[in-house]
Amino acid sequence: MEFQPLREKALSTEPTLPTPRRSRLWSVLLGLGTLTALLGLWQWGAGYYTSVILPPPGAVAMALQALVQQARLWIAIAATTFHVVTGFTLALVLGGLLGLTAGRHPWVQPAVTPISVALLGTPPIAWLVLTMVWFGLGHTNAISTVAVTVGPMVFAGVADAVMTLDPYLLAVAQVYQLQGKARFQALYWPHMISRLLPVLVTGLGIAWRVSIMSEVLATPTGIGAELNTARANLDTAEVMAWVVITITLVLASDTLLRQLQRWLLPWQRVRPMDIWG
Amino acid sequence: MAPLLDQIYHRYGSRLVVENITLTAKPGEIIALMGPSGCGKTTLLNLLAGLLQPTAGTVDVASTGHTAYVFQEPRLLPWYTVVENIALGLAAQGIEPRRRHQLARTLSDTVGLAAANHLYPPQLSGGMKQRVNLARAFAVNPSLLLLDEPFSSLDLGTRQQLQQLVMTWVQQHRITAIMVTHDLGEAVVMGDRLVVLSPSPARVVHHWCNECLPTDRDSAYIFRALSELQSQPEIAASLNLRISHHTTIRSLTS
Repeated sequence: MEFQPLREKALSTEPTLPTPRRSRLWSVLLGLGTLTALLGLWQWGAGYYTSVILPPPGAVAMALQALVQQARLWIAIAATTFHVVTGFTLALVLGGLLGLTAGRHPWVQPAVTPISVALLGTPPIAWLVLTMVWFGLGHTNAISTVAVTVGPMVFAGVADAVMTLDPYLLAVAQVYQLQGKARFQALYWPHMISRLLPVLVTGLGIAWRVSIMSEVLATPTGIGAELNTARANLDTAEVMAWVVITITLVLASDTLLRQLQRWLLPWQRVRPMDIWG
Repeated sequence: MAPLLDQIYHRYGSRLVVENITLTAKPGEIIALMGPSGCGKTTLLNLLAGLLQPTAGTVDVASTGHTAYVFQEPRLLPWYTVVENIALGLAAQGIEPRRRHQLARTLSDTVGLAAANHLYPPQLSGGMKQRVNLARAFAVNPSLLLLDEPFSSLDLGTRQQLQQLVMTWVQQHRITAIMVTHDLGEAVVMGDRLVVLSPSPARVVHHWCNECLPTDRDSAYIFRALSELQSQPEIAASLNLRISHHTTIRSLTS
């Protein structure tokens, strides 16, 4: 039985990126242009106000440079990272397990959904106030606030991922006798991870913000606590330096997770126009 | 020989869709199942695949060994490459990943997809997806191969290639294949037997044995067989053949 060999097309056989390189370069240049314009506007505005109201970009850069040379910067980053990672992991484990259960057993979903909706609807600041009453001041506030804010997102994402698995693919798994671990690896895991990773990217960004907000009010260490101290000292340049540090951290973790997404989901980078044959 | 299906009845709710069907098959044989749309052909395949349990009667495929199912739509896993999709069923057989990928690459070569091993389903044309679907079924070395209109959406050339591949595979590996088709010509070319079902609920209304070996089924024989089959009133009624024999045969053999 001989088959005609496939026609080789002038197409990349690797999954291709959704954006051509030239267009990506253009996007970067456009972003840099906007940033430069914003800095110019800031510098111009700083001329009209005192440094307490709006310090110039140069003063913020100097405050940033001073911070980099101090141990308290790294202690604060370590504390905030600890709050984010611990709270996020708790949210992943608890939300993931509950989501898996709710997805697999439809009767669990209506039982857990009201709790999830209530937690999603509760502003993080309200939860923080409650944890201050319950646990006093300390790391627990930031960790639990992150967990409670991100947990329901993970729960909803996992439950939705399990429930939306194509029943026709499940029939394929049944015919080919994929059970237990093999079925999880071949079907549930890739489907769940593809649905969940975008949720986690958003969740991690929220976790940083919520953790820093909690630290402002309730913890003695962390970026939020340092922000609060700088505010109390009317050192607006340092406040803004901490904001820059926060943005850098959020961007770094977001980039890391997006890279993970690209690595774990190469098939999502395939473009429909890359069809062979 | 124990029948694969023995006095099978199946209901969806209160609606009877399969009524007293018994089906026996020999190794190396292709049975073509035909009947009007919605009569219960796919239900029969789903019963044989273990995706459905019959309301009454016995399905006995366990004694035959592995069952593979070539679905009408390829149903490939979008996150797996061609090779990984072909190797899917081998994971359940406890074969280690390197060995199963090696086997899958060999099968990919057999179905003419060697150059596309690393591509993902969205990058494949309809014909290529169906080849992967077929190779995935062959990979588990099935003793019972179920095919649900596997070639219906393919161009004529690819269809003939894949038909030939299935016939060769069935004969070489001495397996049983049960194929649902709407194409009487395909049933005559590929089928060693043709089972015609009534409109729902499905009952066997006609049984036809192909008297020619697959290699001897030339166009003159196919033309004669089609004429003979269409002259059977129960076949014409079941397949809704209302047009003149001359037109029907010409359209089927073109």
